Amino acid sequence: MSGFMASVLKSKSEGLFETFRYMFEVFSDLLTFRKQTQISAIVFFRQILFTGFDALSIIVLIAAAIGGIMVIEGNSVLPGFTQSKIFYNILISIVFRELSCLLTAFIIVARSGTAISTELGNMTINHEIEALLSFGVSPITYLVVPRVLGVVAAMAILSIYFNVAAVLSCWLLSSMFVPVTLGDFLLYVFAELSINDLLSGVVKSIVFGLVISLISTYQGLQVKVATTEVPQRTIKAVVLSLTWIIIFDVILTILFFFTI
Amino acid sequence: MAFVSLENVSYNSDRYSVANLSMKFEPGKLYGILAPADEPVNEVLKLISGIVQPDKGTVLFDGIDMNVGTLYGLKDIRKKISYIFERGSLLANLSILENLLLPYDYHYSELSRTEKLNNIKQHFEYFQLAEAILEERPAYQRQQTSKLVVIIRALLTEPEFLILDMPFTDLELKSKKRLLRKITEMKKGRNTTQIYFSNSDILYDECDTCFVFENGRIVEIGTWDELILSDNIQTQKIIKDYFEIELDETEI
Repeated sequence: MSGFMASVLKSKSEGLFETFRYMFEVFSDLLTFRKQTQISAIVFFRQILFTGFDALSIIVLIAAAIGGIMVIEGNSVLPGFTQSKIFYNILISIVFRELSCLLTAFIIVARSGTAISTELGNMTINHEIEALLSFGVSPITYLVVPRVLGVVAAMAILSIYFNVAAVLSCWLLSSMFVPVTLGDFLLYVFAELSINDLLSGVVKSIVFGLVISLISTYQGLQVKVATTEVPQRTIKAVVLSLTWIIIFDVILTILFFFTI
Repeated sequence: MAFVSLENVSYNSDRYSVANLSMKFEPGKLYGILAPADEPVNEVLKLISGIVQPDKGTVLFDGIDMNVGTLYGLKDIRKKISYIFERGSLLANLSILENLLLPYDYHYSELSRTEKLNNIKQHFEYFQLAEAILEERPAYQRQQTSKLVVIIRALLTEPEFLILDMPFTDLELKSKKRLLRKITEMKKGRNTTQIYFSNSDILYDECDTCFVFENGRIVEIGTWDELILSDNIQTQKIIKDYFEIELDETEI
């Protein structure tokens, strides 16, 4: 039994070392990315287009629904809820600080994390990675770094869109109960909004974007020879991404709670 | 001094392993590698070209260790190397033109797009490929077309060191002849060192030196004619079994 435990610990520690080595390689290749933008820039822009622009509609839909539900449920529990100060506090702490980053991250995991992992896995099987190596292009610089930057940028932008859509939806629904102009509504929101709230959203977006892109690219590049490895690695990428997003969300929430 | 050399290289993967392998390649020569049909000796080609890294030993290119430093740091060396893969290797999410321009843009950013396009068109003309496919994705192409694009991509950068891993696979006779002519022209020009591996007997008689591999070891080195006359049983078996050449005494 102790032998089994030792081998499990050994493989886990090796896996952890390999992950840190990969992260170090990606961060150090950020420097060379700038020098080979003639070939990598297009990968970066395509990633932003796919992760950021193409996911915009689903993000806006979910954000609008969340905003609307908050108003309806709040009013059903507490009549006049949207007129109280607590409504704006809840809007900021739930939407701005938590849901915008968390739900956007979940959607990006489902859309882009799976796509990245599958694409890189298939590229390995089709010898595309070997082709890049043969003409001296680092797969990390050409394939991974633009994706990491693209996902982080898209994550940050989509979180902002999420907030905007949720606030507009809240205003639209709440004005059905008690008429309020958009200007007044925004004024109340901004009055309750602090730098910490904005910072929390930005930091979480960046961290979640890094988590998703690093895990998805790493798992994709772990595919060796068989097509059957691709779905296995993709599933692993999704599960690990969701797990680490939750872990980092808790850590960051605690950190920001104590800095208020 | 050898242009490219492997010194006491050891490598172990799921597919293949070599131990203490040493090889030397002189500039401008054509080398052949022979191995039993079921032996994935193209792993050695990947070691030589720096696609995979050895566990031990060094791979020297013009005196520089190919496995020390970053790929970007070795850009000037990598510029001189091209690899013709047996299958696949075209980036599926890029068009044929983007695939061809990728190594070209990376290594020859100083050339204008017009110069690059003209060079691509010249190669398309030589291999009789239609320019219309340039904007299409690799997935829409026949295997022969994809293979020719892989060949053109390798030749575009005018490499000093060219690795030909089963280059004639998937090609029809006319294309095979054109490629054969290209390889022999490069050999005559003495500007390109070429390493060739195949499972048919094409081109081996043109090679300056052939290495016979079995189980990750070199069992014999010589010219094609020397190998055919060799007393080495392993060499005879490989040549007889996998190159379909009758080695009866009367023919020799």
